[in-house]
Amino acid sequence: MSTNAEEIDSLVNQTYEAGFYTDIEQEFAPPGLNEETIRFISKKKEEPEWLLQWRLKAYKQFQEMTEPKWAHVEYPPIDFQDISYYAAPKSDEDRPKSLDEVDPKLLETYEKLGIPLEEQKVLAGVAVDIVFDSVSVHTTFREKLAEVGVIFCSFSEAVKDYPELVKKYLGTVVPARDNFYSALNSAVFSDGSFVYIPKNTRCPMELSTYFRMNAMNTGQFERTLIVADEGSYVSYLEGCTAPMRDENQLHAAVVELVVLKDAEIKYSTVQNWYPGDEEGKGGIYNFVTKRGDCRGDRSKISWTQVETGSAITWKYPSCILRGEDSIGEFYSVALTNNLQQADTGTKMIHLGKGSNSTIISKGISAGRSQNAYRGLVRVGGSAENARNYTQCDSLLLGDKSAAHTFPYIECKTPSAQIEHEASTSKISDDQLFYLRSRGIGQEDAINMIVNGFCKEVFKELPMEFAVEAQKLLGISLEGSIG
Amino acid sequence: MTNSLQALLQKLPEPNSDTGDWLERLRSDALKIISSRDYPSTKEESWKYTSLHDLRKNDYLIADERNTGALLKKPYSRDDFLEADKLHLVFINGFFQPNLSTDELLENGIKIRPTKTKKADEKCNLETILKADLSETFSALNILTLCDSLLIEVEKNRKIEKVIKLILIGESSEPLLKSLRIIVKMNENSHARVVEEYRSHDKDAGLTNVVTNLRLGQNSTLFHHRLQMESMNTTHIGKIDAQVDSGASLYSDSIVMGSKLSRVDIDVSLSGRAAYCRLNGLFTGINDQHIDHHTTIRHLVGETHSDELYRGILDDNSRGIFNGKVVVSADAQKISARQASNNLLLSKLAEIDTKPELEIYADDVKCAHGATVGQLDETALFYLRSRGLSYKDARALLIYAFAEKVIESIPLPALRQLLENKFLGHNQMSEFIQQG
Repeated sequence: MSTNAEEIDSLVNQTYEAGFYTDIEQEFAPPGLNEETIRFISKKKEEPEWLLQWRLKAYKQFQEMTEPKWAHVEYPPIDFQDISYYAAPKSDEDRPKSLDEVDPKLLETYEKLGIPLEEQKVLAGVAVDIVFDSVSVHTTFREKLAEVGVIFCSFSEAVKDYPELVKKYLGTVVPARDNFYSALNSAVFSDGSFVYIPKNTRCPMELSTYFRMNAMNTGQFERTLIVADEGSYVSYLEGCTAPMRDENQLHAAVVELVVLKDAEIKYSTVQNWYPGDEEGKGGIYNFVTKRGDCRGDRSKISWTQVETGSAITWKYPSCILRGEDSIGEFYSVALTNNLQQADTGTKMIHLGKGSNSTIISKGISAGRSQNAYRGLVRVGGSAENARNYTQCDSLLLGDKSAAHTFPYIECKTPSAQIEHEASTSKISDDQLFYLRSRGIGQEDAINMIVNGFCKEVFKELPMEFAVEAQKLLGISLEGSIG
Repeated sequence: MTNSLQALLQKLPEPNSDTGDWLERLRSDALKIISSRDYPSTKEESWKYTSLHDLRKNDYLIADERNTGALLKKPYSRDDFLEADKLHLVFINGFFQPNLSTDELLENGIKIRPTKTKKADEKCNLETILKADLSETFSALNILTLCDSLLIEVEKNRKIEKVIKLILIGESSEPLLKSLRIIVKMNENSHARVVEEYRSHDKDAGLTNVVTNLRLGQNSTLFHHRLQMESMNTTHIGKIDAQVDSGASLYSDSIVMGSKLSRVDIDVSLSGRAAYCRLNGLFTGINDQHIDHHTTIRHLVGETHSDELYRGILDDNSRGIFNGKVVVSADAQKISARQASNNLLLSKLAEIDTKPELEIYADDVKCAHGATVGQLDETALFYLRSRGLSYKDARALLIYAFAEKVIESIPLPALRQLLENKFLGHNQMSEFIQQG
């Protein structure tokens, strides 16, 4: 396997392709976390009093909590007083009305990333709500969505324009005190997206947000809230890249999904934040709380994620299956390389009769990385005839990589059926030999096998995303891997 | 009414570390370790599902030679335990009973020594073995409150034909804490079969705390069957710590049917090439029984293999817990490990919590695990009923069929028969099975 070792080496030596840094003037909150910071953020965003009080309450709860240590990851302690909790592009004072008014440097950034806004508008028909650092700068297709009554805007706009909706749903799925990072997020969240799909409406296009972190020492605290009213459907895409940087950045986002009777939310993520260099220096800490609540009968949530970036990923998109016959799905590909660490998985909480969940998780660990699946399937006493199927497979590339599986299964009802399967292995020599003997190069062969390994998950992604995901995986494996 | 671990420790005499006796030294080390602790709480990951709250309800009497409470049954005689082809050793309330045990203790090639711990033998290196797991609360408590211990040492190149059967009986009128230590040392190329059978009187409400240390030398083979059938009022805490050297094989069964609360920890280290272990388990819960198994298999070097199968059957409002962990160390290449946890829930109030874990730090491995939770198949039940079996028999037969996967691999016919009878209740059904 000496070729493999070489290939792994070249993978390890590969630099971050999306790494660049745009110099734009920022407006910072002074580093540090206290009540003043929170008041500053709230004032800056012209928030109503109730939201400020909500933040302050969360901050009180945060102070009483301790940093969780149970995940299978290691990192130096984070100094929460050394982080600046607010950064917004200067142009905040007079927002651009069209693309022409957008700061050309910003556009340049997107150009480098290969996200031509105009083209996307026309070709993909996707409304893009770009979060550049903390403030939503540009929203497209708003009018078109408004025709069918879909609300898709930045969180701060939602607070101003639809305070009743925000008030009704904010923090009901992920309460501030849920965990350490959700409390932190609730106290200092900067901005994010808000989506509301009215009753019996099928959102006419896929909604998409590109997150991008760009300022030194700025924690990102996005807050996303999606509400699908009875009988509605929406597909939401979230994708991220970040520029090269030496200092660790903390990202503690909260995503809340509320799904009412007969409604469905499909939430897809491609995450490619800066993973740190070969020595594990730098890179993003991605501590995210994502949870969906199937509140009505037959409601459905489907999480799909492709996680290739971040120094540390710590993320468990979950479903609370409250309604009868509600459905939760989780499809995940997590790739770690160099010294990346990932501890990711899902929680399926079955409460409703006949609720059904599927978990497909594919972990790929290369280099000296650690990749863990951690999942919980809990079937409560009321969830008669609940059904769960879990499959988590790990692929090991490189003899210093590690893969772990920690599935928790808790079952309280005899009519439930739960199946869990997991396997861990390296790329099969037989498969590799077969492809090589057909004249396919080592690299392409490996790419093929890895893509085949992930196929079950990729096919759940919307078209454009599937292409991007495959490309991402290809880049990560380029000139590499045994 | 709460009795903390510290309250229990108050009852112990101070260990005297100045005597130069290594065991006294060990005791004072153990005391240092747990002197600031209480019983493990559910906040600890490994005790997440098992609350030891009930331990506090009893004011345990620590068994010692002078006081083990009054016996509940008429005295036993040696004939009560005699079985063909077995060497039996009887312990009552934590203490070895030479009058009731087999008198062929020193058969050719085997040394079975009930070790009065005060005069423990320096030669067989007991100290290192006993020290190994001192950091765990119950292991430290075991050393501190030890009643009797037993060392079984099998000579090099020797195959012991007779089954070594340990019968450990609890029957005290008092809630008694019995701490026992069993050490099995298999020398090179040896072969033995050991059964540990735990029983108790129906009224016994004691706490059993047993640690079994298994040391398998090169190319040795050990079958170790642990059968726990204590009464429904008891608490049972067991630990098996095994080290398997190159070419050696350990076949372990843990069968739990008894105790109100039962916890068995099994920790196996495969420390030499071509070492193998098979861990099987079967547990059945009724009433409000709580049965917890935690197993860890450590593949410390390459070319080691393991298989694990645990099956749980939970009825009434019993609760079963299985936590199986397979760890493959860095650079331990060419490993295969298989693990399965299958569970049957028979009642609406029963609960199972299972967690099969893999922790893998090497790449050339084949590891797989599976877990299932389900119920009896209605169609199969209907099929059997339509063939004239009563509901009760049909149900028993299906449950037995589920358990059989574990039972069939037990190489001791008497033990298999005992389990069959337990599952099928009456002899007619047993005959039916044998015919089939």
